[in-house]
Amino acid sequence: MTGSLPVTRIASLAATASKRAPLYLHLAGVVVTDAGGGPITFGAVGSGVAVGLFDVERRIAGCALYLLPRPPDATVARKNPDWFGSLALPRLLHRLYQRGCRPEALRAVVLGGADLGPLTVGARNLACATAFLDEHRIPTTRSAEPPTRSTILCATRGELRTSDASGFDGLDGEVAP
Amino acid sequence: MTLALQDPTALAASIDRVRPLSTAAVSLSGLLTKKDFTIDAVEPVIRSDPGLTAAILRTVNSAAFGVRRSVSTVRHAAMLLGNKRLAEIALGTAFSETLPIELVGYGVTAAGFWDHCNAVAAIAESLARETQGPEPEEIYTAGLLHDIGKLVIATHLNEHLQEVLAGLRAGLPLVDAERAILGLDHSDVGAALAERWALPPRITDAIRWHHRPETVPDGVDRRVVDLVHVADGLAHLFGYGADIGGLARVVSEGATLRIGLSERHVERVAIESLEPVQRMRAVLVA
Repeated sequence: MTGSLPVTRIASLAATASKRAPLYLHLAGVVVTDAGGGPITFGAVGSGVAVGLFDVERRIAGCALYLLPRPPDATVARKNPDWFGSLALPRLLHRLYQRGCRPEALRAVVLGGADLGPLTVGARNLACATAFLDEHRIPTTRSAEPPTRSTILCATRGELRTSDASGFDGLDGEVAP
Repeated sequence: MTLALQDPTALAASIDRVRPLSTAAVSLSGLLTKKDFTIDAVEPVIRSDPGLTAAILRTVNSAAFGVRRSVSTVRHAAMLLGNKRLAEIALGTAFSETLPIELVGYGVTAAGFWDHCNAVAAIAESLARETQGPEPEEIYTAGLLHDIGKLVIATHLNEHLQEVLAGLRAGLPLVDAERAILGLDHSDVGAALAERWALPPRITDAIRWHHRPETVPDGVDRRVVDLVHVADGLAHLFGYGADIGGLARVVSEGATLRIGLSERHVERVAIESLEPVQRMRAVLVA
């Protein structure tokens, strides 16, 4: 996680984000914005992983926030594919391709994958995201420690912000310049 | 120096400010400690509270429950959902009415707090089944109500927010920061509130010890405490209702060993608990 930014910069980002209603993404789901759409926001990810993909040419973004790396069986997979990285990430990519996105123009941000004590579910979730992005040769421009609270992938500008109870405490970076 | 809540008068005054749990809800919490009960036991309790009856019917008829035909009576709802599930929804509905819009001090909205309470209830119940020990009858209720102390001390915490944040930045778990700054933590205060609400003693015990499973005294059902403690940690890990404490939490290794927690269990309870949490969001919406 990067350090804090000047307050003015943070304020301008907040103003930009507030111009359009955010899309709220619950655990676990997949959303895609239209070109120039508003921000995608979600609660804490914890051991889950949020993968945001941003098309730098078309200015379209999408995000998958999944719970586990892969489903335990076919029945669960059929019923709730968005819960699992191995299914949610291809679905996210497919939806972006349907909107005309090109693989070469995509940039990724990856967030989450926390663990408590000896548990490894977060690390396995992160490994799933890394393997998927490597396979599709999508560069990861930013990855971050799990934030304590809401995170915004700003589709219009390709920015990722995190906040905690004391306000915006960090900008993890821009997906695209 | 006496800290903010160590003064019994101040504590009692703070407890008085929390909207009380209804009589029907207290009766339901008692019913839910029994292994089996009939519709004849649960229906009169719910029907004694017209507001609760209406709220339950709104919830059960919401899209989240996927009921195809309109449900217009408590008895019909029980036939569709089962007596136990209906009683749990009724208790949850009554509990939701005690929530403020936001738990200031914890930096979490009622919706986030609600998600967390329901997640702990669902995860604890699922963990009890998965780990194949005895499934304590009161596990759902204990999970649902485990954090009621936060309703009392949220405003006190807010008055000391900068100190709390400094403690968190120094690596202190939130419950330790509460104790250091207020003199009591939300588990102590929650137990006092549970006694005021006349909840069953086993529920009160789980609330009191859920952050200190290693110090549970003789006579307290350790399995309930262990399950609620681990479920609380997992609910935070899965991201349900994150508050200012983030993931700086301690999950007792002893508790995980006693209940036999494995990675396989973690994955299964993550899957099993997601739908119940999503369904119970309808309670706040309704």
